[in-house]
Amino acid sequence: MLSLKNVSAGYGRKLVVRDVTMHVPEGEFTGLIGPNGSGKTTLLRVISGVLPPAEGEVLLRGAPLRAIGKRRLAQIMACLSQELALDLAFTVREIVLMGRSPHLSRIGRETRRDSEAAEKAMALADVADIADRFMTEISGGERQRAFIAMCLAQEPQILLLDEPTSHLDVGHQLSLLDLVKRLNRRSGMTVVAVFHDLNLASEYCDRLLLLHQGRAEALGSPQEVLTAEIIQRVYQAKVLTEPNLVSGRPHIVISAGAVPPDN
Amino acid sequence: MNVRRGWGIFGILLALLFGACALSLLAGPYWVPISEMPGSEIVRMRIARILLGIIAGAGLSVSGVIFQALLRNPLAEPYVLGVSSGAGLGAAVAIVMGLSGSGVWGVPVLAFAGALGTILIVYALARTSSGAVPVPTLLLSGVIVGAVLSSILMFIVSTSEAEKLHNVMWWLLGSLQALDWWPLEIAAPPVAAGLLMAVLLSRDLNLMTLGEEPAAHLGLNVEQTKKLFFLVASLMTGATVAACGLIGFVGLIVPHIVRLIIGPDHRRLVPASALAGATFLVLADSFARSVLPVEIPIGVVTAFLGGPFFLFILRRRTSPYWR
Amino acid sequence: MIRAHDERERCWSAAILSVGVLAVLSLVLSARVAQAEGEPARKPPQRIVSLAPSVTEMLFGLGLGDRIVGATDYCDYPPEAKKIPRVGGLGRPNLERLLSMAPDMVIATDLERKDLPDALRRAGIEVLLLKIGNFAELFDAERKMGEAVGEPERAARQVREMQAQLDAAAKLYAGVPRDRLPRVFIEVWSDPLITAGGASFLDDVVARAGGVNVAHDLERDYPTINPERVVEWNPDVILLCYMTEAKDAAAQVAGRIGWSGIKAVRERRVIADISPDSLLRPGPRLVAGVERLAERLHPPQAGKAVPPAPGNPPEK
Repeated sequence: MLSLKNVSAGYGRKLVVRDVTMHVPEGEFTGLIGPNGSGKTTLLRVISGVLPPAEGEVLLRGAPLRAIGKRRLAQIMACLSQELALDLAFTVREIVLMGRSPHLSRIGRETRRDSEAAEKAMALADVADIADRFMTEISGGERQRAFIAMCLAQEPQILLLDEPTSHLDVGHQLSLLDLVKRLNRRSGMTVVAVFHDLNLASEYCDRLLLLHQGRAEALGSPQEVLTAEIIQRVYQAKVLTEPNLVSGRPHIVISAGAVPPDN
Repeated sequence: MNVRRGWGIFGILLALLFGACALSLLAGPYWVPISEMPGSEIVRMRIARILLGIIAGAGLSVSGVIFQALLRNPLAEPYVLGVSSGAGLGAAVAIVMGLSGSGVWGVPVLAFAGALGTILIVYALARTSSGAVPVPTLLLSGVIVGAVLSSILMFIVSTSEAEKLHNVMWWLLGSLQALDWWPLEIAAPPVAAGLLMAVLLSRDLNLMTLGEEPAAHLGLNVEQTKKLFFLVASLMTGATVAACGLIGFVGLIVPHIVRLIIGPDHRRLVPASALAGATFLVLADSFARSVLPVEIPIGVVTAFLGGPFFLFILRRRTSPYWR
Repeated sequence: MIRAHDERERCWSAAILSVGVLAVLSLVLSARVAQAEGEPARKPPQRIVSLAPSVTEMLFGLGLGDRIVGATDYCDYPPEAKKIPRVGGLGRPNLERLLSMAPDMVIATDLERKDLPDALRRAGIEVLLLKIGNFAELFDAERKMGEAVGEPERAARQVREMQAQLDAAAKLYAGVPRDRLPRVFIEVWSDPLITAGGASFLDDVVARAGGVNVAHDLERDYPTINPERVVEWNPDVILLCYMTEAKDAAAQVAGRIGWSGIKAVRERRVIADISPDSLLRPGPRLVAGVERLAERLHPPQAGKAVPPAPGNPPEK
């Protein structure tokens, strides 16, 4: 569905992502992982179309991304970015309805179809009961779900997520990712998500792309990518990998470094 | 009444506007009995002022709404990108060169040119190589250009003779005095066009408040939208400034007050701000003409009345729109 | 402790006392300097700097044009005055340039910096400050100047001539009772609308020309007014006193919103063609302005219809 061919990108003259090639088949849940500054968010921005690549190209179903009109693209692809303003005095419902914009003409009004799509999105994201509350009054977890609902209201085929679980407690992290996984499995929505937490990435993703200094260091299943040796090389951290007691997926086990004795 | 959703609020705003206009017809150094109004020349003069006040008030308010949405900064207002300095400089040059007075177009033309020229310079300075105009750069560029133009203006002010000095200062304080129809003729078309555009494209403004990147993700061509709206808002501001001088505070305060009452949805915020701004300016003008024997410059009145009112609204804090 | 109090109190008293003595001393000294202002120069000054166009005109009138070594940027009458080296703007001379001209007398009317006269006197220059707010003061200033520069008879003759011209102008409306004199709205500027109040020279000019300033009761010299007042005043004549580029200023005035009913507009008596210099420049030329204005306000052919003033829209 989504192909990146030798993509390099950056800001100004500085390249942050170098020569990345990958292919995301339809319906797959792909995770982008890597140390700070390895270019994960930059790569996601290239995929979402807001950052044109300096070299290489991105293809969506074989068509170059830059040739697809912005509105058309937004009807296919939704992205939950980190930049969303936090102090919006809109209600949840109003925010979710904004997700219908790509399907509306520039000066058109919302129809019943749009209201229904919004209601459906809110139900999926489990924010229907707070639909009339203000974004400024709800918790961080609820806010993230509201933004997810906004993305879902776009009725996208691809969902991009940029560190969707930062600032969330473990309960909210799991419920959000469970929701995304459900959508991925039941409706075949392709997902590409940037992860900070390796264990979460391991649990939820079908495949992982590990970036190191802008380059694709490893691409494959969690078992293939999350080995102690690779992690040592990329993160300079000594960890153990064990199969997760419940799912069997690789689980990174950390331990505090040896404390030198007081002398 | 649900202020957020209902249309009742617009009924109230219209009624307030009517009330303000009626009050303005009665305000002034001379009392004109209602029976004498139809043929009264004085009433004709007041009507001209009221119309100009409506146009300028609506134009400045909506311009403020647009700048606040695009720049995502609560301190944004029509003059934030140095427009006031540029327009003031243009007007000062015209006055000092003797191109002012009855029937002479020097002041409005040069003021408008100054306003537009400033926007173009600020925009060009802030542009990156890829054609994008990042907001923080735009703001900085506006402040710097504004400061430089201001200094030139102050230089002209310091070296001009007393009589011209007085005229320049008076112009800088703004006035709705309409001896002829030309101020309305030059201000009405851009303001009307700008209002129409802002109303039709309100959703785009909503999307912009989410952030530039989220707006792009929702299908908005952000750079094109920014350019379009900046042009529209600048034209409205430039036209108003050319017609009435610099009337401050309206473009800053009215959007905030209206937003606190009616919410941030621009589909309602834009028309409501237009109505509220028109009402505010018409009221301020009535006040300016009738309270003291001398006419108070309207910029003084808008600050004097607007500031405390805004504080009052702010302190109530029961609005969910207060962050 | 009590001792410390006494000490401190004594210090304070000493300080206050010295400040008081200094204040009194300076007051006395400045009074003496102020006195010096009115005293005539011992011998006629040879190098005079004029800080006002009116002063320059008067000096030329006294035949002392060649003794002027410095003049303001606006001193342009008579034409020879344009050749005099410039010393700065109205009321705002460049001090260094002034001093470099080595004058022995400086004559000024309005000065922005009130401490300038004293500074000049300390430099050994005589300073003559004149007040020219109306014709009475103008004549007085002429006499004072005559005394100061050593030409008292010529000054007196100038005053007599000016007075004679004013009297000739007064003859034009000699028989007219006061309530039949034309009521005049003096428009000094249009945007904002500025008129001349009772304290202005223009008020006196109009009065001497046989008109009544509708804004006479406004005390300030150049107040800004609401255009509605002009409609209410309903003047017989509107006098435009500004230097403007607009060729048809009078027609512009006639076309203003709400002004079409004003008597001056209806009878096409908007005067825009009297040179502003002869109306606005305080000085001897104002007398010419009075004459011209009087002729327009009281045209010699009594009983004939008043022709439209130049620049007014023609008869329909």
